[in-house]
Order: sequence, then structure tokens, then C-alpha cells
Amino acid sequence: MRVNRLWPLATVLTGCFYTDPINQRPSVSIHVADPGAAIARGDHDVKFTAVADDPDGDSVALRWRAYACNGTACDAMEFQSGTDTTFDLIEVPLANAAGNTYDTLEIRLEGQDALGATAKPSQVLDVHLGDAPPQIMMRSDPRPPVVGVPIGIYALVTDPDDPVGSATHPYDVAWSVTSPPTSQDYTLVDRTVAGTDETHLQIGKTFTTHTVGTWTIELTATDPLGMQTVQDLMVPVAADQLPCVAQWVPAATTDPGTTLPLTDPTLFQVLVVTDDLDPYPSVPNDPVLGTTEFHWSIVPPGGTRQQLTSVTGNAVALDPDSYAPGDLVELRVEIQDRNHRAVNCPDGDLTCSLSPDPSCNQRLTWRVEVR
Amino acid sequence: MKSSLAIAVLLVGCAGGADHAISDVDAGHGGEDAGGCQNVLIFDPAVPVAGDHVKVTAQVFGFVTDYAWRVDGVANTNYEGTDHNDHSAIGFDVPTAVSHTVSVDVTPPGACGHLDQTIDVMNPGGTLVMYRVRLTPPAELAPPQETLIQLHQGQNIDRPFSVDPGTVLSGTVTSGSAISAYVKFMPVLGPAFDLVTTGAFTTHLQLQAHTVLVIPQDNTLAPRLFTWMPGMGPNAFPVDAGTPAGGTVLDRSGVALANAQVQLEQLGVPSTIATTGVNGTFTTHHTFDATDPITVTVTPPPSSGLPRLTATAMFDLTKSIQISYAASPATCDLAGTTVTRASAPQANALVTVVGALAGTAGTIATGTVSAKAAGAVHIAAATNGSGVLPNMLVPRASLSAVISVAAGDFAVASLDTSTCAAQALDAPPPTVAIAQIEDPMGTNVLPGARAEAMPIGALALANLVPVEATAGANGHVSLSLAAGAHYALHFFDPGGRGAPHDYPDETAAGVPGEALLNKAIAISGQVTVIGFPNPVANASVQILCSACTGVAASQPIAETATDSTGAYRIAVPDSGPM
Repeated sequence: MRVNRLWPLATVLTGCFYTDPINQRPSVSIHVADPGAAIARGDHDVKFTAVADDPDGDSVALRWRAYACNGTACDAMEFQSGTDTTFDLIEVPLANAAGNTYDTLEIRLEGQDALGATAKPSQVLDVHLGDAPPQIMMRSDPRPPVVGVPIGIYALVTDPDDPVGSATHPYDVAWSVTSPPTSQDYTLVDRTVAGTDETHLQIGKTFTTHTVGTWTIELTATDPLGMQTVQDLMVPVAADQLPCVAQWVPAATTDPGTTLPLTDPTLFQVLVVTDDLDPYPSVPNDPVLGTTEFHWSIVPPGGTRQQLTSVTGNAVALDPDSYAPGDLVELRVEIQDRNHRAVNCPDGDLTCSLSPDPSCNQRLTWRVEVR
Repeated sequence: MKSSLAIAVLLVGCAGGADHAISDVDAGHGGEDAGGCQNVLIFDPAVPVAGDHVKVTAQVFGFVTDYAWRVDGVANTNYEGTDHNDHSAIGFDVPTAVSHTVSVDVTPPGACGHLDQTIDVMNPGGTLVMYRVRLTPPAELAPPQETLIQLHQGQNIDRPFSVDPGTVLSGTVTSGSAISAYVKFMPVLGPAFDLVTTGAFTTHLQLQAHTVLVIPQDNTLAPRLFTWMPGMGPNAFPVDAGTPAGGTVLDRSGVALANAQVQLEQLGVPSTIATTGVNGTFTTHHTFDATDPITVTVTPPPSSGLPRLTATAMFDLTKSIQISYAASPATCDLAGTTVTRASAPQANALVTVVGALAGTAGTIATGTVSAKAAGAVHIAAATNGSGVLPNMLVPRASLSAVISVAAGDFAVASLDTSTCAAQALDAPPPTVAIAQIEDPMGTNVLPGARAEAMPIGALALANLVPVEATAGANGHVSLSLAAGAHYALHFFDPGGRGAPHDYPDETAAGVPGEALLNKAIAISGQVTVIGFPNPVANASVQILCSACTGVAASQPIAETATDSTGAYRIAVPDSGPM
């Protein structure tokens, strides 16, 4: 009897109680990667990150949109969108189609969890866009700066939101030389550089100094709104290097006890001279680089040294038929660059190095035995 | 005009190309960098001209399931040939003279799965120009190497070169112990190069057979030729006194000639130099075989008035070498001859009488082998303080006198001593010839361009020193040339604003007032050494004529050196070697 009364209750208790949990909305927020940095028109790689949280632990799908605005009027279409946690603006736009400069960036972020619940409200971040600063790239002529030799210094100035090449409103640029601070031994004069247009200002100077050291040449560019960029270029000016005979044929004599047999007509050639300013072979069409000077001399059999003044090139031929077998002939070449430093080793020295580097020779000697 | 060149095999990325010294990349290696890859692209024709159809075949070692081709970056599925259903070959038309880059990616990719190559399409109207390119990298990287290149008229070309570093030989020249010697390495293919050692030496050699000439500094030791093979050596180069060979030298009267120098030579290997004694006998030492001709050269003492004798034959050096001067021509004494310039006697002028004698100047015999010897005159004497020559015997013949009034101040005068009549030698001052060097169009002068006058003819027999000048701002060069002398003129521009212009035989009067350089084409590219990752700076790049001999074979038409990035650019004549 008792069992019968409990039956309905038992029936109820053996069923499943299920309460469908309520899916909660995720939350999202926008963080600026570099909160302290101003963002300007034309900036590249401006990063934002999203922080998303879902109380249920669901994944949150993100959707970024970036709008450019002039005053309160934002463009109808975003200029960039994204779905990653990080939102990297490739380039901040400058102005709308009507030519109105953007002054605000509106970043919108929406989040939606796996069950379709969206974050409310969606996040909107308005960022003031500042004036873009000038951008400067500097370089010098692609050769080692040497004392006393003019070297070209070039700068390319651009400004994302201001014209730089206007003839009527010249862009404000100023050159200065800031080091070595104790030396004023330099000149910095204008040089003509082609290539300036509305968005690219190409300017240059010719820098010359007689003082060894690392010079810093600075360029300051200021845009019409006063935004300023300073860029410098280090110019390590070195003393002129001595030329070095780098390659030659045939083998030269380095040991006083040896000679080179001359069995056939032979061209004695200096193939390569390394030098900072006057190499051989020369560099074509370079306004500054020159070429090596060769000074040849010969000691004929039983004779004394004669300068071969008619020879100014890199080679001299000898013919054994001009001599008798067993004759000893000494052919010598000495090299100089534009500074004409005398190769003043003793005449008996087969080689001569005026450089701290003994392998850098300015003299070669071929002691030839006619065979 | 379609080239009929053979198919060229373009090796792609073949670091192990041991048999290849220098690789003209456009006609040799290409594509990937070094890595042991032996895959190849085959272009047919190898040098296409505009209007051709080019077939490219990938020859890939290993298992391949497919090939993905691109021509100038665009996928190409124009597979070719009944044998190429596997997609290993494509074809494309080349209607214009431009370059095309062909690449293929093979599946599976593997280590060498990407090949690419640029091929230049030539102008159909142009002719082919052949040059030798000699590359001399820094000695610590690779030995000098040469290759032939074929250029198409009117077309600049990009021609990278990949140089094989070869192998390092650490050798020693010995005669009991290490000795000083001159060593010349002559590869089967490529330029010879040399070194002077005091015994031990180290050098790079190409991975190919070399003949190695060793000439000891000690004249009592005989020069010797060795064969060197990669991986086999030898590393030691022993020399000794060799085999003696002797004989006698008789003058034109049949009298023993003392102080004559005798030297033998076989295949470029000299003997020791022997000097005859008072009885005319000599003994020289050699390492020759009995199978190749031998050249005998006799240099008589200057006071004899005799010519130098040279004869080549299969001389039997086991027998005595009998050298006899012909009775004729007799000699003539130039004593008392005055050397003048503008009627003024020239003191201390050096007079070198030169010339080649007609007919037979003597005979050289060993046993039954006898050869007629040619005679060459090279006799020198200086005038006294009054400008008068001392006793100076010369053969009676039509000769030339090269007169050096002072260092570098030459004149050439005819000297006919056939009848031994009294002579007077006039040495006019050098003539200053001025030429204006201009670009190929003749519209611009070329400051910095250069002129070189290389002696030829009689002057060259006495002196090979050239006369050179660099053009000033007005393009003018001044050449001080010996009166009566002939020169080979070479106008060139180190700046590459034109290609060299040569005048093979000119006197001072023949120097052109305007020397227009030739139209140039540029060869440019990158020089690399296989296995060396850094740019090859300061490598000498010389363009040489393809078929010259003697000094001209090493006289560059144009030369340059690689820059710090390993790049070079050089201007050569559009119409080939002049």
C-alpha cells in the first residue's frame, strides 16, 4: 500500500531535470599598441589589439573596421578591416576624395561568440590624427670619403600630408654639420639634384673636408604646420689610402737571388691596383675617381736604370730577341695615386711598401734573364 | 640568319663541375647556387635569333613526376616533342631580340628542384663576334682561367662567370734539397701562369691536367717538363743536370768561334745556356726526348759581326752538334760612321743594327741530320763623344739601324751594307703626332681616352717599349714617335665610351688626325668563385682576341676589374677584334 502512494513521486524523480543555460554575451575592448604615440596621417603599421572575454569560455570572433573622418563626417566605407586579435593599419589615409584632410580615425571592433551572441555595445575608438612629420632619407656617394675629395650628400624629403616640391611654397630644410665639434675645416655647398616633384624633394650638398674623422651632417626639415624631423648622416672621412698592386703577370721577383727566364716575347702587366680614389682599371664615368699612375723603368744589361717616360700605361713588353742569352734585364713599375707620394725605398729593393700593411706594395720588379 | 650553333648544355648549379674551369654561366652553369646539383637545362638553339622557336628541355637526375614551367614569369604548358609527354620540355617563339628567363620547378622538388636561366635572343641581322675572356681572380681564390664567348653584333649582353677554385698544390722544386726555380703551369685548357720560388710553393691549379715547366735558377741544372694531374700530383719536382749535348761552332771562315752562346729548345722547354770555349766547343744540358723537333739557337759574340742562327730539325743529340756559319755574307765594319741629328754629331748614341738575312746563314747538323739556319742580325754599339761609331762589324746586307740618341729618343734608318760603302746615319728627332680621339659618332671628343703606339718592324727588333698618352680635355693625344719607325696604334677608352680602334701599321705621318673609337657593345655580369660565398672583388677581366699569337695574345682589347660586389662591365668592339 505504501509503495503505491510513492509511485507517482518516484515516477517524477526518475525523469531528468534540465535547465538550458543562458549564453552570455562576450565583451571586447580595443587597446592601442603604443598608447603614448601620436598617430598621424600617412603613418604606417599602426597597431591595435583586441582583448576579448566570454563568460562562457567560448571563442570570440572579432571584426575590425577602420574609418577615416573629417570632423564628424566619416567615410561610409571602412578603409581597412580585419579579424585577427591584432589589427595593423597598413597606412593611415591622408584625405578624402574631395581633398579634405582627415583628422580623426575611427576604429570599430565587434565581437561574436561561437553561439552568435555579440558584444554590446561594439567598441569604437576615435583617434585624433595629427600632422605627419617630414620623412628624410640620406645617403652619400658610394665611395669611401677621403680628405680633400668632395663627396656628394643626398637627401630625399617626403611628407605624407604636405607637398614638398612646390615651387611657390618651398619646403623648409636646413643643413648643418655638427661634428667633429672643434673643427670648422669643411665646406658644404649646394649641388644640383634632379628628381624633385610634388611629393619628393631631392636635395644635395657637396661636402669637402681636410680633417680626418667622423663627421655628422644633419638635415632638418620642417613642414608648414611646424612639424619637424631631423636626420643625420655619419661621414667617416679617412686619409687617402696608398695604392696597392693587387694583381700582375708574369710572376714578379721578390727574392734577390732569383730571376725570371725570358724565353718568348712577354707582356709584363699590372692587372689590378686597389686604391680608394685611383684604382686600376679605372671606374668609368665617375666624376671623382681617377686612375693609377704607372712609372716604368728598366735596367738594360750592364747598364743603369732608365725611366721609360713614354710609357704611362699598365704594361710593357720585352722581347728576348732584343737581348743576348744570359742577359739580365730589370724591369720595374712603381705606382702612385693623385697625391704622388714618392716611392722612395732604396733602389735595390725589389718591392716597396710605404704602407703599414707590408703586403700593399707600390713597387714591383721583374728581374729577367734572357734565355 | 639563323645560327647553326650546336645545342648548348646549360649546367645548372653544378658545384662539382670539376672538368670545367671557368663557367660562362649563360653557356654553362646557371640557376641555383653551388650545391652539387647536376640538373641541366638544354636550349635549342643555344643562341637563338629573333624569329626562332626555342625548345627548352630539363634534364633532371632523379625521379620526377612533373615539371612546372614559366617563361618570363608566366606559366608555360606548351610541352614539346613526342618524347616529352612527361612535360620535361617546352617550346616558345622568340619574335624579338630580347632576353627571356625560363624556369622550371620539378616535382618532387628535392634539393635541386628549381632551375632557371636567362637566354639572350640575338638580332637576326648581326654577325657573331668571338672573344677570349681571361679572368684572373685574386690568387688565393682561384687560378686564372679563360673561356671563349660568342657575342652577337649590336647587342649588349649580360655574361656572368662562375670560376672553379680548382685545387691547391703545395709543391717543391728539388735537386737534393729545395732550390730556387721558375715554375710555369700550363693547363690543357686555359692560360698559363707562373711563379718564382725559392723551393717550396703553394698555388691554385685548375682541376685538369697541367704541364709544368721548371727552369732552375742554377744554369747547371736542366729545365724539365712535368705532367701534373689532379689528385695524382706530383708535388715534388726534382731537377738535375740532365743530359749533356755538345758540339762546335765555326765561323764563316771555318775557324772555331769562341764566346758564342748556344741554347736548345724543344716544345717550349729550353736547355741550359752554353758558351763556346776558345776551341769553339760547347756543352749544354737538356731533358729532351728523341721524338720531337729541336730548335738550336746560336748567339755569336757582338764583335764577330755574325748573325744569330736558328734552325729546327729532328736533331740527334747523342751526336755532336756541328754549327757552321755560311761564308757569305761577309762582314762590314761601320767604324767611322757618324751619327747625326740635324747635321750635329750625336755623342753616346746607341746604334742597334737589326734585320733578317735572306738565304741561308749557316748550317746546323747532328750526324746525318742537317738543317739550314736562318740568320738574324742584332748588333749594338755606341758612338763616341764625337758621334762616331767604333769598330762595329755587321753582315753585308740590307739592314736597319735603330738609333737611340737618348733614353726613349729613337730613330730608325735604313742601312744597306751590301757593298760596305761608307755610311752616314741620320737620326731625325721624333715626330710629335697629334690625334683627337672621338666617340664612334665623331660628335664628342673623349677626354681621358688613351693612345698606345707599339713598335713593330725594325724598331721592335731593338725595343718593344710603347709610346702612350692620355687625351686631355680637348680629346687630343700627343705621341712622340721615332722617325722612320712603324707602330701599331691602339686607341681606346678606359671609360668605355667606345670600343678600341686599332691601326695595325702606321708611321708618325700616318697617325690619324681624328681617331674615332669603334661602336661598342657592353659585356657585363658577375664573377663568382664556386663555393666562395662572398663577392669576388678585384678580379681582372680581360677581353682578348680569339686567335692572336705572341705578345698580342696577352694584349687585352679591353680590360676591367670586378668591383666590391663582384660585378664588371666592359666595352668591346661591336664588329669584333680589329
